[in-house]
Amino acid sequence: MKKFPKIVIFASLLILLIIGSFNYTIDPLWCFSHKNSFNQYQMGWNERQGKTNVINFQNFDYNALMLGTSRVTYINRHDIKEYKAFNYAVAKMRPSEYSDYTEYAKQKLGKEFDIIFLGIDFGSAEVSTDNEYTKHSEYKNTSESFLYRYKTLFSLDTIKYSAKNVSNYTFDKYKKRVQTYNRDLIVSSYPKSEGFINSDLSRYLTDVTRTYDEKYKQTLLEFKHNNPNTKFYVFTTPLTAPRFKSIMANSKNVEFYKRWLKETLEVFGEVNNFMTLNKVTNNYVNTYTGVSHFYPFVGTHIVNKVFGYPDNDPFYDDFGVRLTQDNFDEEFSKIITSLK
Amino acid sequence: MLFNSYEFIFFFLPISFFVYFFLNRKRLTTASKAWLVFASLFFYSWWNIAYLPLILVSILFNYTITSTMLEYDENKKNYFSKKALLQFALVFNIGLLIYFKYMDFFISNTNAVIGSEVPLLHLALPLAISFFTLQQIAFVVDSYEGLVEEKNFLDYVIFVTFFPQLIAGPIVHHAEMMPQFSSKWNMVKNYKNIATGLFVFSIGLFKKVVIADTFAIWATAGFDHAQTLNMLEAWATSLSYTFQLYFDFSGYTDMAIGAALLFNIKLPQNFNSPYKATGIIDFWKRWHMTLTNFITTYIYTPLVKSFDRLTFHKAMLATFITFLIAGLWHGASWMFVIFGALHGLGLVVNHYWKKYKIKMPVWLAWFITFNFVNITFVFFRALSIDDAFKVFKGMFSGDIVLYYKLEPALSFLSPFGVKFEDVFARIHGSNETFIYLVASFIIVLALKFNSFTLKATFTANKKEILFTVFAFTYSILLLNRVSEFLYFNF
Repeated sequence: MKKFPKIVIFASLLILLIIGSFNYTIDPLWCFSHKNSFNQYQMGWNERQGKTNVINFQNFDYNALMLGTSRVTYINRHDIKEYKAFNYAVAKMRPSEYSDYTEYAKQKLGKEFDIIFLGIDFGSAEVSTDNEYTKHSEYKNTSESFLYRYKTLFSLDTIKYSAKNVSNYTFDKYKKRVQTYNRDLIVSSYPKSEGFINSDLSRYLTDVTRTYDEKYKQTLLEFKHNNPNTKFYVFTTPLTAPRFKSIMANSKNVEFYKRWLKETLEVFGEVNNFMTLNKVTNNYVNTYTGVSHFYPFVGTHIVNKVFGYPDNDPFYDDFGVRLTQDNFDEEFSKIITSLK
Repeated sequence: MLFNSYEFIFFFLPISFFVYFFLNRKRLTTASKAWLVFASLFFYSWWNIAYLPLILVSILFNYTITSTMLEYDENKKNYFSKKALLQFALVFNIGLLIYFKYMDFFISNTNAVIGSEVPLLHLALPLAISFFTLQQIAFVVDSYEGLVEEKNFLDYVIFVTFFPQLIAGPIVHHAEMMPQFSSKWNMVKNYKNIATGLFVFSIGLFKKVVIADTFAIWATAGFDHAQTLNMLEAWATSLSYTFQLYFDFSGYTDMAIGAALLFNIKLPQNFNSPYKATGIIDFWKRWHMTLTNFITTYIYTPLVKSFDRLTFHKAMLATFITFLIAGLWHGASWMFVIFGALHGLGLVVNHYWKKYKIKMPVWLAWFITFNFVNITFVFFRALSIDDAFKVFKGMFSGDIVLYYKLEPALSFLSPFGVKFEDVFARIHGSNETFIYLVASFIIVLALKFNSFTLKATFTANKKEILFTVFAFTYSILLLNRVSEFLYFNF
């Protein structure tokens, strides 16, 4: 009888230690900062929680913040040359979430960001049911809960993510993933076949009439107001040409598009509009991984255009237009003409 | 803190255990008891320290009253009679329970009936008030009856606050507990108890974390989120809750019993394979047994004694009233009253059945009992009558939907209204739901043993070692679930 508790406790702790060590080495939940060969291809299991974990547990000394949906996650933060940027873009980020995520990052930084690099999708101005999403406070509370990062080392779910990340490296499965993160939170995406991309596109041959969110402009105004000393670099995310055309084939969506651009412009004064027909979006087989996610190298050119970095590649000479109040009507007419 | 948490398993329990027996080894037995009290109050306060003053006041009040009763001498001049003290104590304890647990229920129903607009108090329900109040009521009543001799304050405080049973029972009786706390034999580490305690605790942890928490996903989706349910979904929802409740409650009880055994304290059995019951009387002898004992002794018996001439019908009336009260004890909601009333009625019917010696096959008796329990648990779980009827509607008149992969083989059923889809979509279920349900039926019906019999036959053999290690480590690995974002890459 005396041996029973000793054997059980020893065996249990040994198994847990082995599992915990494995999970620590791979760190799929981004709670630690170490790098090794096995953890260099990370799955984006839940960017909201994962990136919040990074802010909470790792050294956070950035002066620029990147926000937006999963499209913006593909942009390499190192492309923004004068600033040390943190990419806090997460899948399906809504405008109503911008403030919560920014405030948390500012709280950890201890001050406002010098700049915010904000990518807004066409769908960002659409009415949505906010209760689809878990509030940022829950991710924050989870991350900051007692011994969270150590407890998660002993989780079956963590083992599953660790196993996927290890297989990414060991069996080169990263090449088949839609995207993977490295330990610097830089996304890599791998060449997709034309068939794959067209298959993704085939789901979006027509588009419904969208309902405009009447609170959209107010939400952006409040967000800007909450960051009075921060300079905003705002752009619209590009879509593949067929997708853009299918949306704009509906005349009500044309009105939606115009209003979205105008209101975004009224709030920020300047918007870099990439959601047009251009060589990049027309040549989507080589520039996109699917219907709406461009390759990271396209993201580099988005940054170049937004920040005015030299970009001599002629392929990108019609990629992106800087909209202002003065040129809006003229540029909008050009977009509509290009669709005809 | 919960038993199924890292804080409890890796910090609180080991520290409490080692300090307790360290103090005992140094023969500081009063200090070790005080440590147990401190640990138990710390455990209680972990939820919310604001609850602490209330339990302390309740303990001090009841101990003072019972001490006064125990020292009561009829030959001396007393300011209050013993009966007055009892009545005062009952009013205090029941009043406390009514105030914190039922006041808003009373106010909202009064407002609904007479059209008043009295604002609700929105009082936070003090943790475990239902349990520690019941235990102390029993002690007060028994003190009045002269059935209590023990009056050591520390033993009394441990009896009320002992952390393994404090939050969710078993409801312990002072007569079976306080002698254990004062016994010197229990102050020495007992490796048989430690081994058995670890074994039973692991069983309970597995039942709660692996089985109950999985069923909870489907039950919650079905009861709280789905707008409508097809027939299979509705049955899966109700059965999921029936199994969730059993594995959760009995699992928690096992953990309580296991944790208590580490300290050489034996808590009473609370479950005995209740879903094997072949009648409602049998069911309540197997389900939440300590509650059944309490309500029999302290509600049913006084009720029947209050009748001038007891008849069978009056005893049945007392049974029904007792279960109405028991239903309401579970929570301040008409759903619990309905639950209690139905079980009271079920018991009455079962008693009449037995009185008139009506026979039925065992399998039929089981079938009726299990379905009665399953259906009444829908009221127990549903947040409103609409939610309950949503489930019932699905169970008895919902669409018949079968798994879409069966369509090629069973397409001839389509003209009869049978559809082929993802069967459990609205309760976030899958094939796993079906597997869990089948496995649970096997566990609760076919296995000849349960955790209590396993405890009784425990010999620390290799199988038991392997099982304990597996149950413990697998449960630990499921304590922390990592939620994936469903809309990844949008």
